[in-house]
Amino acid sequence: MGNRKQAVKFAGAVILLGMLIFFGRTKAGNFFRSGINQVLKPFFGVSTGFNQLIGRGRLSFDESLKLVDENNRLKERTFEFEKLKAENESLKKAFSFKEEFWTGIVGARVLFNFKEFGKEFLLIDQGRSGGIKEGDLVIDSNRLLVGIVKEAGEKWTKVEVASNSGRVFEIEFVPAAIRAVAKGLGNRAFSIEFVPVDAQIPTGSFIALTNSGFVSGPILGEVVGEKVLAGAAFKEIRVVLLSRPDLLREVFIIKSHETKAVR
Amino acid sequence: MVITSLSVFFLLQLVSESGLSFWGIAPPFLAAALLFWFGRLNFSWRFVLALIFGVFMDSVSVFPFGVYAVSFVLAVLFTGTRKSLFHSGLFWAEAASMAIVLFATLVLIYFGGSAAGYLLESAPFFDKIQFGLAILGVFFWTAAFSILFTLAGRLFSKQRKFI
Repeated sequence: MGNRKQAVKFAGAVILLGMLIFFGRTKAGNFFRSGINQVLKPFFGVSTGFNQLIGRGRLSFDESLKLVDENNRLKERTFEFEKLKAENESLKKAFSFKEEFWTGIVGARVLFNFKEFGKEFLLIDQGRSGGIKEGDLVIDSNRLLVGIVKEAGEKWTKVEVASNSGRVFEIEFVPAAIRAVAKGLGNRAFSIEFVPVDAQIPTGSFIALTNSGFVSGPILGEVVGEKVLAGAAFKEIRVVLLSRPDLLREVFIIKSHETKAVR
Repeated sequence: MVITSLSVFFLLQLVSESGLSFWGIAPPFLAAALLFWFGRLNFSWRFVLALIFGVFMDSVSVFPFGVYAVSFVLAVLFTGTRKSLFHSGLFWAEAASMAIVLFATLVLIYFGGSAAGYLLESAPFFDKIQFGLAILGVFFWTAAFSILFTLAGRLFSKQRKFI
């Protein structure tokens, strides 16, 4: 009798699983999940605050010094960039060249940063109601790629960080202009294999996405080293993700279906 | 007291999900705390708590919605079948009993969740190396938390009924 009762309870739990999975994917289920996220918002806030208190999600002193140094170099680069931009505009005018890209972008606040099986994810407060769809690209305020939309609900979205293992991107080295495929390794690192051994890709170069619908795609990472095997025709390049998902408070989602060229 | 302690452990779970993990598995604060209370509450309370905190965890997980809720509900059933062992008074019997239920719950969450995700999205959630590491992580946390929470149970042994 006891076994029968247990079997009935077990079957009930399995049916509950099926119902919950089905319910979670319906519109009503999505609204329910948005409500839960609202309820959990204070918990997310306390969790983020605690992480900052213990030093996670905060820059160390060495990192801050490195950033100040990098900031000074970037100021110099920005000056050069502004000059080139003005030159480019005058050339466009001279040749009557017009090509613009319309990009649908929506901003969102980061509610929570979490890991599952060593993979990193972000929970943000915008969803399908803001036009977000699975597979959309997510960038930060510096136009660095953060990741890809994994699951979108009515008013919430789960973003998978680009460097998670299993993620693959078609990229281009900047400024070397060599195309390759970057494979996510986890821990905010990428591996780029089958790069010709004679290709000049210095440390500090960037990699940018090529198939994102932009003239120049969002920047994904920075080259930190290379591995060349003796006698091999190819080398492997190691890249780190430039964006810091644990420090992000806001992100921007590029709505792929609204991004198009206007000529 | 039950709700307060579970809320604190839920918060600890959120903090640990943001970074603290061994072999890709975060310490199961909430699952262990739930099992601790499951051994001391009646079925209705166990069921309601499992469902509420399961749904909370589902909203911050990448596994299909419902995986945590159902794993916790199944843990309620497992606890029911092992209740005599939970209260045997023998430390190692209690710890082993908790370890079995905790291990089953974690396996159900991580591997059941990945399997459900694979069925729904046809994309493997982890590769073979991650699988091996995750097993190590589940073993490690099961052993550590079973002993810790059984010890904690000893502190409460004089007052079994809280609700």
